[in-house]
Amino acid sequence: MKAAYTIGADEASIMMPMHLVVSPDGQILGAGPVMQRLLGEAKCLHDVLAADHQFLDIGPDSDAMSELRRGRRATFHVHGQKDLVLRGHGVELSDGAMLVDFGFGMSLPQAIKLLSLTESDFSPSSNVIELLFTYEASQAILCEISRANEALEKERREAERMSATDALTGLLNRRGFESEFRKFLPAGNGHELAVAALDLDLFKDVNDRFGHAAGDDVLIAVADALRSGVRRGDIVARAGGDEFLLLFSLYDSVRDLVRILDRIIERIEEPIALENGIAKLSASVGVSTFVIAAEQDLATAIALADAALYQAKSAGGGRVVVAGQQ
Amino acid sequence: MHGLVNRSFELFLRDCYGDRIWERVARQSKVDPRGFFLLQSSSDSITKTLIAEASGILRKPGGELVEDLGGWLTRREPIRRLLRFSGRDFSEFVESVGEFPSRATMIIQSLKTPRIAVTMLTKQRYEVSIESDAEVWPMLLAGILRGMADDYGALAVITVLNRKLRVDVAMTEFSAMRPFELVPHTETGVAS
Repeated sequence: MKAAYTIGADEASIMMPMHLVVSPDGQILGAGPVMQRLLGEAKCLHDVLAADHQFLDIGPDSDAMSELRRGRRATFHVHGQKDLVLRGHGVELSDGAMLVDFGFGMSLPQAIKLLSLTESDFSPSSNVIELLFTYEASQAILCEISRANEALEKERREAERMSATDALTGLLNRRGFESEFRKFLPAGNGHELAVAALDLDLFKDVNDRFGHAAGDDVLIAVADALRSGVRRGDIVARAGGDEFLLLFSLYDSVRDLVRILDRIIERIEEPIALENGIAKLSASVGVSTFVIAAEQDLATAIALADAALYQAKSAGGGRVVVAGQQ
Repeated sequence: MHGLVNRSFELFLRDCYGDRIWERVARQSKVDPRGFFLLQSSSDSITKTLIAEASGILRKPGGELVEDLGGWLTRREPIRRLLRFSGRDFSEFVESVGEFPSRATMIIQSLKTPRIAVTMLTKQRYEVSIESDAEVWPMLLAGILRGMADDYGALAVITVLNRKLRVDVAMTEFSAMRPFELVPHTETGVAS
């Protein structure tokens, strides 16, 4: 069933606040309240709008009207407002004029600011308010999700750090040591490293004599001695108990390495003041050098360093033994 | 209960009573004091426990606390703005309360809120029915309605009647309405 409707200009303004009635030659015959604010005193459409496509150019000779008449949706830019876009479609009225109803499309926020539009300026059927609500709500949710992500990322990093750190001394643990070693793997073959296994001499006596709490204090002091004894770039870890591992990536010669390790032993041999006495101990060190070829090379090098360490222990401790040199 | 509810209660306690009170409430409720995540749902009993423990610590009835939470939400600018999209004046706002559940699920699909029905009894009196056994919803909504009445500058009396609220709007323009623009002026664009 089709019925003919007649609607007055005032009623059209209520139903379509962004409508426009233009004559075939572009003269403005009527406009809804929002369009009136945009048009100002303009009498002709081309004074205010420019068609988005050249063939839709608005003017006395334009074919924009015929395009709209053919049911085509048209996009127009507003002169002097490059961010403001109008999208519309229209129907031909009985006198040849065009009734065009517009929307702001994605330039809605700019239009709201430019024309100081409020909720009352939009028809309830336009869903403009729902669009703005949805946008702001989505932004708020994204902010909250972003906060949660940041918190989780911080905790992940902290968990990662803790999983690689020895809680007592703050040095790397074995896992952290291996992880640091893996960073050298991309360097490929040919890069020479040295690993040192260090074990405290007389540590058991300290524990027996002063107690385990004092033993912990000694381990902390030894960790400090190791930190201050190595150079920037050297890696130190507590492998467990009173065993430590060191990884050297830069050294001139094995003799150079032995000199560094002797210096560390000297620092460890300095008396350590405890609450109930003074601890005196030393350290034995085994060193092994190797060329990186694969991840398992580290395990082999540590085994060789351990073997050298036992030789150092067997020889009375307080010394450095280089694998393959004795 | 959806994480949004628990997270809101956590932020409300932190903001109004301090982090230490929140941590105490969390510890006594046996939840992580670091707080809730938005998309982390938990059983309704956790929300009840949180409210009960906070009520005990702060010596304030649970219902009052939840109502305060509702009022506090209306003072958070991003939330206030979302609420203000619901109507041009307080009467329109009350009439739109029934749309809250669909507005909520439009943004967070997993957020299940009870069905709300608004009946206009007279031109200035509304009855708001909440289809839920959970006590939290009527009190929360009462707090939101009171807060938004202030925001719109309306004079209204909100009465909690078990699962229903009665809203008497004496004057819609009693005092100055807090400003609201569809697009905040501080932003360079809606997308910023």
